[in-house]
Amino acid sequence: MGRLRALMSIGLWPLLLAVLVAGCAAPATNTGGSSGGETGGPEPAQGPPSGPASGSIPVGVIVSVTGAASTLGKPERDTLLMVAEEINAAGGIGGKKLELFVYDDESDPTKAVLALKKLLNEHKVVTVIGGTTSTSSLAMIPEIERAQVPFLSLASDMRIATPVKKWVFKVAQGDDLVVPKLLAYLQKRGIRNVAWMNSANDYGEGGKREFEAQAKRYGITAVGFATFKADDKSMVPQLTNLRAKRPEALLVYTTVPSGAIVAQNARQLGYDIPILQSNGIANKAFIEQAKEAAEGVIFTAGKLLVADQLPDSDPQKPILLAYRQAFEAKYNDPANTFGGHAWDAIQMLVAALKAGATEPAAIRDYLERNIQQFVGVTGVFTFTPEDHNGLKEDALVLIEVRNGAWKLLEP
Amino acid sequence: MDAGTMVLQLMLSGLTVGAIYALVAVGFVLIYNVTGVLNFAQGEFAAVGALTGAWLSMRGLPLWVCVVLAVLVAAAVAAGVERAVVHPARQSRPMTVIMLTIGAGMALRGAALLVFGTDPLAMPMFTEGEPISIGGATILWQTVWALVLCLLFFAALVFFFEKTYTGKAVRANVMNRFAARLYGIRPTTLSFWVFVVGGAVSGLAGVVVAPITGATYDMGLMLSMKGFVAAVIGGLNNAAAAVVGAVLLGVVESLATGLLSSGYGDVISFALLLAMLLVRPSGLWSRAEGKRV
Amino acid sequence: MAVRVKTRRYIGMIAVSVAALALLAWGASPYWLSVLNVIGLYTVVAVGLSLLMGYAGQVSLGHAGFYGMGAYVAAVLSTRLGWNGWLTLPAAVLLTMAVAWVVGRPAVRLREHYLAMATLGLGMVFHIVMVEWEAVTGGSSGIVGIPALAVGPWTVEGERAWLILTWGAAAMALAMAYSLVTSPIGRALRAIAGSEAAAEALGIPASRYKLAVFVLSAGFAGLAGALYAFYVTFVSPSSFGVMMSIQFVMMVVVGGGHRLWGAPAGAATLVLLGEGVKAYLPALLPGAGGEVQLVFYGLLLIAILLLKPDGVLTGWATWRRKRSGEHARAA
Repeated sequence: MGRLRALMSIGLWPLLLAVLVAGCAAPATNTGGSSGGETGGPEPAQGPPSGPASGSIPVGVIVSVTGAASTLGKPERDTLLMVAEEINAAGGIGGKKLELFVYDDESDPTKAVLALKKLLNEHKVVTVIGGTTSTSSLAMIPEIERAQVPFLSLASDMRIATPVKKWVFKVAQGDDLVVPKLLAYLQKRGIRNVAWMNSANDYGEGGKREFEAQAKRYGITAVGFATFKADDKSMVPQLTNLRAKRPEALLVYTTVPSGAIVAQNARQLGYDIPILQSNGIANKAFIEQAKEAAEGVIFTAGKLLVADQLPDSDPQKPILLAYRQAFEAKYNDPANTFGGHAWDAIQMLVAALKAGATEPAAIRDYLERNIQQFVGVTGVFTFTPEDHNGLKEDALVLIEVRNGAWKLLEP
Repeated sequence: MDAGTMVLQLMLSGLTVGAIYALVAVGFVLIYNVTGVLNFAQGEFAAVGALTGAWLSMRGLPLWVCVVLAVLVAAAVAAGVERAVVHPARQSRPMTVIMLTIGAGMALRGAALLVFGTDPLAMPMFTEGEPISIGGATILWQTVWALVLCLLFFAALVFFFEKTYTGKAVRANVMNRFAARLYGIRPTTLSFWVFVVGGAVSGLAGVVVAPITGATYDMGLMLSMKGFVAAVIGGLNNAAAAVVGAVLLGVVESLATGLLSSGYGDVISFALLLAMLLVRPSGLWSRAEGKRV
Repeated sequence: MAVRVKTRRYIGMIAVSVAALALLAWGASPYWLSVLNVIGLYTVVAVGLSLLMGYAGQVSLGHAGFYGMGAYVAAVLSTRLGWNGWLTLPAAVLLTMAVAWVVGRPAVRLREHYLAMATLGLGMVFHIVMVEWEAVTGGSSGIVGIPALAVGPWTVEGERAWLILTWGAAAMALAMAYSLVTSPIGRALRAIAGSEAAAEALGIPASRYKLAVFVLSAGFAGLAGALYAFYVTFVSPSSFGVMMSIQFVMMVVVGGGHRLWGAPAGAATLVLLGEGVKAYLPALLPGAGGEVQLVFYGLLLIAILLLKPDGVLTGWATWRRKRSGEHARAA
């Protein structure tokens, strides 16, 4: 009896909440426009940023310095700080200093959204750079669009800039450029049956999605698929399984260290077919870890790794060498393509600011109209109202690991 | 490659991973039995060992020096964690102490990131050379090392607990804290030393795995979790059972991933292990209640 | 009688909290409102977990899985099947509870550490399913564009409106938990937490009670997850990993697992600690990035747990006891 009463009294509370919410919902959630202040959402940042920003230009940065994507996020942050320092040392822009507000999202999209709200409301930033991971970038987009502040995303997922969103620009090469480059290479070699492996995270899946969409066009069929977790210690099980399906080549879409483990495991199992990987392994740690197993691995990446092997006619060559030299001198760490994305993003912003576009709307318009043949580390960008990524496949090259070094396969 | 070779290959691969889990799990069980603390910073000690070893080897030190130093550093870090975090909280609830070890793990992870950066560090294999071929399947020399070191450590453990006076005293302490005190054994001293040993064995795990997987600052969390699971499968109070639990976990994972589904391999292996726990609710073979080391 | 007095005090406390929240909501910037919202959501999960840990003596290392499941149910139903958002909330709660019942039934028979391991495994399994069941969950990239909660023309939008929902849910969870622990069921639970064998000897069906609390706490997590999905308008597996499960347990422990008010206190402590380290550390230590912040977060957590091993509310509770003691003497 007592228990029944207890249960009833417990059950009462959700009912009470339902009534309460039903009662409150009406006045408090009106978005009809008449009571705009009631909604509490961030006000669209109209006009120049007010308050503390008078002597400086506040720019928001949200990158994954810690967590699963830290290999990408840390060089991104370091690059942004380096460029801001350079610019401020040279007197800033129009007498104003570039002030970066940097937040670490710990590779967690929830934290990215929280940080974004802080950047928009507390620091009144004029532009946001960041979103190291595709998930963080995608999670931030609704708030960005609502707040109407330009966002330069550093992540690769195609959905960030397709379909085009008014305030969102993407500076990383998407999987929609990387995968076709690999497929074209296979086609040229006359390879038809391949095995596909990817890490079970947003990066690996982005590649797989693109592969499944495009393989047929290049006459390529997958004889087997496998996934692994980025922190797995051994991919022998997956590779053992795939080998039984007799592929003519192995495609791997992941980052380091797992990309190196795959290469080592494949060598251990005696794989003698070509191994192709993606821009995720474009990191010297791949060669160091995979050692002999890295030999002969072919992958697609930006030109940074092989900048000195590029022909002098390549418009990106001077920029690439300058970035690499500056980064390596300052941090004593090899520069990588992810930091390069950050370099491009902040240089585009600086170009807009120098042209006198200092408000969010003006910056956005400048980016869309005036980033034409913009030579960056990632590639040569041309933004249009229909294209907020603006890269062509000439931003990518094929690289082979040979004698423990990167070798440009074709310019 | 026929089906038999494939299964053999998968089992050998599982053995490799299992040996790594085993070294972490043994540290878990040791610390748990002597101090009653589930130390979730265990994997972090392994990460410290792996990073130290790899960093030193990249500076050109001889391999054995790297290994020894890595183990020592991991042991020292574990000792520091015991003194700074576990010892002051010895009167707290067990759950609070577990959370303290997790907090310590976070701090260690951040420190490792500061010192070693985000890129994975590489380390040479202990023995260079082609993989060993067994009936068409292959196994890395490094796996042999992991297994041998695992067995050696285990033998040392057995010798210590069964043959030496101190070892017997420690077992006495585990069985009856009060009685042990009467014989002049201070539980706090014991707690310190068991962390040193637990840290050392985790450091060893780290430095053994580094050549296979590289060393990253965030490799610890996953090792802690797998080590914990392996230790629980073994019954948490028996180091031998923890080793068997770890190898079982590695082999089941490998077979499920290779034969059934690469994505759902871990789901299947977990379901199997849980089902097994339900059949034998107190671990693989704890016939009798009560703790053993 | 004693219960009646305690009830009145609790109602008073709730009233004070509501007033404080309202004041905060009125004055706070949208950023602080969003922080409050996140605390509210975590409180819902932590309340359920503190019932499980403090009253039934069981630890779950997999509650982020239930939290994520609620979020995914809401996201999938509202985006793929076009359900009204409000209808997905009960669906998320019920489905989460159903799954918790199915997997909990064998799991509660296990002893303490086995349950911890089983739930840890469960959390991992849920995470893998979120990643691998791409056709439904969108894989690692998750589901974008979750529509706002709406009925007809009324939409929940903006931080203030959300505050009512998140803290309404938190208040509901607290009230339900309070009703539960002050009921005969609560007394039975405490007996189980004390000694399961003794409780069974008294005729309390321990496993059934434990299962009930487990299912209830999963339901809370499911509700919080569903609200989270609509709040952030985006879900992906990376928000629901093992670390999140540990964070939830940490909230309960930091708050003091054996009292219900510990749940909001623990949730607030952890969220504010995280935000505080991000906001103030760079000011104190120029150039302190995420790496340094992680170190400090860990160290501060250790400090809190060492100084307040029974939860951040300890000092306050003694103060209150002392005060009510004096009160009693005066009367």
